[in-house]
Amino acid sequence: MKNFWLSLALALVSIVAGCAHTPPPPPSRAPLSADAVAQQYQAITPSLVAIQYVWESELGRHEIIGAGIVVGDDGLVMTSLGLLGQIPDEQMKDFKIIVPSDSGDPQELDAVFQGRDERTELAFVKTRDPQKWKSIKFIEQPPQVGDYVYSVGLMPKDAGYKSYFMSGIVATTLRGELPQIVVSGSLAAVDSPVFNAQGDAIGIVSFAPGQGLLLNNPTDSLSAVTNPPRLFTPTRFFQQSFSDLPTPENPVRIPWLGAMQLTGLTKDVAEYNNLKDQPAVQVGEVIHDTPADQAGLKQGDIIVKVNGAPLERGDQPEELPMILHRKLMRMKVGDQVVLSVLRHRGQPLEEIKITLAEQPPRPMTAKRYYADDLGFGVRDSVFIDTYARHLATDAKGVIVSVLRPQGSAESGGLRLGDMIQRMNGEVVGDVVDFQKSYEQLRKDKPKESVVLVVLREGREDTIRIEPPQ
Amino acid sequence: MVMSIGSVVADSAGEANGWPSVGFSAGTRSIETQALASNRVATFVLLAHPIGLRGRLRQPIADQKGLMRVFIISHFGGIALACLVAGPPVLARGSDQNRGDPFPSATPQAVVDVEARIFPAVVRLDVAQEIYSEGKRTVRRGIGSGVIIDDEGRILTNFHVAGRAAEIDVTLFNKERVPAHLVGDDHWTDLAVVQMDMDHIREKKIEFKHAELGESKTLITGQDVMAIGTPFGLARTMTLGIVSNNERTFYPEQMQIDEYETGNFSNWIQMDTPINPGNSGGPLVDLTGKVVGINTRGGGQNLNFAIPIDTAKEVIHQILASAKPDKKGRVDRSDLGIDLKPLQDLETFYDIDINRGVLVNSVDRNSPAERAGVLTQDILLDINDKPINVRFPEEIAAARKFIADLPIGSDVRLTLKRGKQTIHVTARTQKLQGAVGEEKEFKVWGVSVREVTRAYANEQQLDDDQGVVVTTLNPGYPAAKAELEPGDVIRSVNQEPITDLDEFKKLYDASVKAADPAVLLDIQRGRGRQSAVLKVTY
Repeated sequence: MKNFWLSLALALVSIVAGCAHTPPPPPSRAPLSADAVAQQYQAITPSLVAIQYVWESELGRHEIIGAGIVVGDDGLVMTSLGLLGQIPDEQMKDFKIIVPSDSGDPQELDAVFQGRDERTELAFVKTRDPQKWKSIKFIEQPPQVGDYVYSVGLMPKDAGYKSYFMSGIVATTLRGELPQIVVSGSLAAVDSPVFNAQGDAIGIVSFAPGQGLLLNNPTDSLSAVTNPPRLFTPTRFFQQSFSDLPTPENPVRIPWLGAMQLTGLTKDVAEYNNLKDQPAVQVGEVIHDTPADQAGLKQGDIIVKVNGAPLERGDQPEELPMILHRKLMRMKVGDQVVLSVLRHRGQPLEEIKITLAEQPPRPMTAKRYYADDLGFGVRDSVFIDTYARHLATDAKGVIVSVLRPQGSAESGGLRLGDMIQRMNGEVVGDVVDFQKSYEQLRKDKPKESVVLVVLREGREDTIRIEPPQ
Repeated sequence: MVMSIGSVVADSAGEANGWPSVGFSAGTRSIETQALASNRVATFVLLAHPIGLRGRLRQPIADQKGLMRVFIISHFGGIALACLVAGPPVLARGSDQNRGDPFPSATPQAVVDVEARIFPAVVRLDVAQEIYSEGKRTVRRGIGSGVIIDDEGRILTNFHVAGRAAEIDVTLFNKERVPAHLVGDDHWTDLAVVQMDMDHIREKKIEFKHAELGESKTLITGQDVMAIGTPFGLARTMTLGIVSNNERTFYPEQMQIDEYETGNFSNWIQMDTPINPGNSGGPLVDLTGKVVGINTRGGGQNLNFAIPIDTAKEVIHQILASAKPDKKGRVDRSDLGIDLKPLQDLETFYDIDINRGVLVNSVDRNSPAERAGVLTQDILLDINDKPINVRFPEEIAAARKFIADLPIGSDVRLTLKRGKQTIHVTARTQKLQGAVGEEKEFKVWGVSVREVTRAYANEQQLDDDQGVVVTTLNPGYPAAKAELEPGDVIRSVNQEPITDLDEFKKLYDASVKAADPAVLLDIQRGRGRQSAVLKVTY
């Protein structure tokens, strides 16, 4: 707490100093003293909570607990998208925010899921009742190699959510699909806040392969301590969320072009097209009737500039499509974007003005139905499903999303990812239709087989599911 | 759902003084690789140790889901390819057999008599098969078995032993070696015909005998049969067992040899006669010494499979009839582009008589059936007014063969039941093509490519069959450096569209002749298109 005011005072001093046209004194790069560590630890701990929810899948209920950071005084908590994975929205239930306590049992507060933000890879949860908490404010401060960084995280549930302190030195910054700062030393568990010596929050600990995300991992509860993370994501990557927070009523709307299969130009292809040293991305496919298609973007076009500015550089050409994708994601639905594209070698660039539309719905927001008696679940077909199967976007059918092991459907030959096109000879519409006809069918003819025509790897197959007699 | 597992054991050291000395090098390693012509994963396990190989053969044949391992019993460079065949074994149906007829049984004397008759006709084949690897045409050496079928020195063996052979050496029963060449092959039935060099035989006054071909359709389950061949390079090995089933099918699994489809047009003889890698191509004989099958696949333990000699007789006839001095013989078949499915347990659903018709499970894009208006879920009742009935999986192969035997390019009348209606359509048959097209090497660019066939385009869900598909790349050469990958379809060279392999060859030759330092390729990878530039130094 004291340190917080100290840094605020320092910040004010530097503003005043700035006004007086004298260069601000560089922030101290010395490591924190033992006392200062204790102060920072004390100051940050009250802003660390755990987020808990139940994943209620067709096959069972699983409790999931991960780290959260208080970012709103009223009870707003953030975590990374990783904690939600690809779990369908409608299967995440009973959100709680767990406030650790030194003196007694952790306090469990009912909470409401606020939404995902794919642009910044964050997710937000808020307590049902308003709180008066101390929140953490993230600032953008590009760390320099050699800077000391500190991190406070929570131990797993088994260790009573006790907070702990880790420290390291900035080793380097990786540019790429997602900026990452490498630390020599250790950081606290994934999704813990990272601070500089002044106590400013400058990033969050990133997930890396081998790291645990859960605070209730039964197999290796202490993995974050025995195998501490060494990468963090700087604030500039996720700052955008705070100016445009998702709420249940207003989820984040992600814009898209309708251009797919983007590839970064290799050095040789760039040189062949007289684009030496210019990062560029080639359009592999333009989806029919999307903003890119309507604006005249073509398969094979090479994107050289976005809104007049050259593309950002990656460490590898493979990273360029994702860098461009992230740049576009940060714009708003309805915004106009101007792409400067090279269509033929040696010709001048063409400017293509595209008005961004909202990206099509994702599988995790699709409506679902579980046919418990025969052991299979389906969901509505969304863009990515018809796209992957080379079908028209409005092609009818539902996607098999879950199969009970050794259930009737599995034994009958149904497979995950099958697109059910017909049931007992009738064309299948969406999940709502499917559920209606399925339940009627099972009620009318409970002992008879259900015959499905599915699309699998480009071919139809006829599947007969025999109900348990 | 097909997975192949190739177990590669070190090549045997060859025969010295008649007895093989089988040498294996030490060390075991395994790699995983993506099968080129399919999106199914193929795992090649390199087992450079006899213990490892034997361990594999002893694996239980059924795991928890009824998976069964079946491997091709060649001993190729020594590659033994295996297929995982899923699904519970289908119930054996008794074929029409007259159990009253006596059949020759395996008395000790009968076994010895058979040995005397068949041994002089069984050969060991040392084969160098032409394959493509690292962007180049190369050979793969292996060992298999074969049986001499006439006094003109023709040998019947497996496609996976001698198909695509560039060089063949035959070792006769009397340990004489004779050079030979491939007459023709057929991957669909996994058969090949080889011709011994008769001038050599006459010049050296080498003696040989030929086997007599019997009949496979009269085989009775339980009947004694013997297998003769070269397991693990151990020439002239004879084993005894019984016919376990005379109409084994692996439906609905599609079996493969490398990437070639196989096993679609006939059922298998299943026997418990022990066979091993190297037995491939050798004869399965009854106790009169007549050939009733060609030993082809092993399932480990006591489940082994042979191609019926009745199938082989037709294939031999067609290969010999089509072979020319400068052209390999082959078997041409017709195709309609329909995936057939047995109607067992679906008769009520489709409201049809039991034992009538076959389900049209899927219709290939751009196929004769699609053009004729055949739809998925139609019931195909007749072809040219001849009934086509498939109730059980065992009947699928015969129905497919019926279509394959139609004249190529002929109009056929299909009678279909669609809902309550019976309709007639006319489809023009097309020559059957497999997924594996013709392949060539392009040395300067360091790449081998294949023609894109309609079957390949369908399997990979490509929009059309234009272009050529990259199969292998030579590391460090222009194509590899331009980051081409196996499976990429090259659609244009320097903006000239590629229709087929000949067109690609023409543009390649022109580019090499002009010493183009940079060649622009348009590549289709998955659904997307991208450019690649080959930087070529001459």
